[in-house]
Amino acid sequence: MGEYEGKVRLVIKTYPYKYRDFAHMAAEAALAAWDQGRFEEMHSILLKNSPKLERTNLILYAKELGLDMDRFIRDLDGMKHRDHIERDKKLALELDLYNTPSFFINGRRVLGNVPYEYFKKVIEEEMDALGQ
Amino acid sequence: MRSLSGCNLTVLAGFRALVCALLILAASTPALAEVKRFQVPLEGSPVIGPSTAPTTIIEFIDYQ
Repeated sequence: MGEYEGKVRLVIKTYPYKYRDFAHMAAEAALAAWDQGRFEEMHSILLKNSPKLERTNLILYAKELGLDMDRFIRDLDGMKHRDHIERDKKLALELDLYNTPSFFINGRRVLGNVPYEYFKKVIEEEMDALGQ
Repeated sequence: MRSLSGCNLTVLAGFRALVCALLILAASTPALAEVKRFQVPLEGSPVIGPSTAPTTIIEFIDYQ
């Protein structure tokens, strides 16, 4: 992202797989941090520390960010964002996505862990088309 | 006349072959305007980066 500072925005859709233990909870943690204005930081921490995403880990990460812990734990345990996550999962299935990560770059679908060079090529084609 | 129309047929066949070749080329290297673009709703989702950015990447993510 750093390379395209100011030229790209990243929109995150949560798509935790059912059969993974902590995937849903990690998505809850990201969205709970979002509620407190710290999504970007939590997003980075989760990516960096995956798959260490047990409840105790998530609470530790929230503390590191200095979040309001009562609120964070209440949101996490209460699965406050369940509907949001279910909405994103439903959208993923409507789009026939069965893998993560899946991307849409200005609507162009890029599936799976593609080489960074390919990703870059698509972004640069888009920027060229926009005259950036 | 006969030879002239024969010539025209040859030109026509050549033209057809050219159109065919162009169509195949276009299909194998689609122009950016012809790339399939999906409409994915953005609202109500966390965003990293400026809302004014000309390029939008949507990522479906599983943190685990």
